[in-house]
Amino acid sequence: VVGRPTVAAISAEPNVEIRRCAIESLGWERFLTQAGAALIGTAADPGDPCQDLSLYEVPERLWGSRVNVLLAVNGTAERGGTRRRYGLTTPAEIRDPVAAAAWTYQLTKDQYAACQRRT
Amino acid sequence: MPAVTLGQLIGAYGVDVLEHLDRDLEVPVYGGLQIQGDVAVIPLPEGSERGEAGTPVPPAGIPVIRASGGGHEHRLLAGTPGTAFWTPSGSGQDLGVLQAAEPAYLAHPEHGYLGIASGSYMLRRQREQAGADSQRLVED
Repeated sequence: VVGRPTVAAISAEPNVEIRRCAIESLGWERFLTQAGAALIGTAADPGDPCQDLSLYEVPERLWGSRVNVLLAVNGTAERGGTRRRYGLTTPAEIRDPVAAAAWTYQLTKDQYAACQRRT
Repeated sequence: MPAVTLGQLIGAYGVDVLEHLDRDLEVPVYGGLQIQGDVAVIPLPEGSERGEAGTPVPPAGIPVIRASGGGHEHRLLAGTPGTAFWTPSGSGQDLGVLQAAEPAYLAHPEHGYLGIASGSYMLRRQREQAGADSQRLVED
């Protein structure tokens, strides 16, 4: 599934770690598009206002449980100047991209919104 | 205090970072929330310091997260030896509490250096939802 990642193979993979490797191999944006994930909302990232946070709803039949995916951009550029996009799974009840990012660090949305620097 | 560049910090502490990161860029020192990849530096309200000061951060620093399969090391450094103290939390998402009398730094090979103003902070890892009722720690 990591070597030849497809949405069908990824959704059939029960191991979370292997599933994550396979999605990274396919690319998070391609995975979300091909999986039919619905965009819930987009917001500027408080820690890095030039970058966006996008929250997607992943179909339950695909993931095995209700979950959202927060697509964020790495705070530091890669060699060559590009920035890596990565996904994090967040609780389905949180429908706000900034609140979902805050949840990953056990912070409130207001606390996260005051972020001074993200690298 | 004059601004310090990434190159000067690497020279002072000896913790190197990836070569494409700009050595001439100034590293700001902030007292608010800052995030270095999968670690958040969260300021604690004044007066919430614990009775114990913690362990002095040695000149070589303390790896608050060690390098592992998918992740890199985050190393905590005292601005001047004897001015930063570390109390580890043990396990889970909270890594521990930093008490710094002078600016301290958090170094990571991919993310560079984070400048932390004097004060008290919780260092906390990032998590994600793994299944319906389970969570996992993120490795960066």
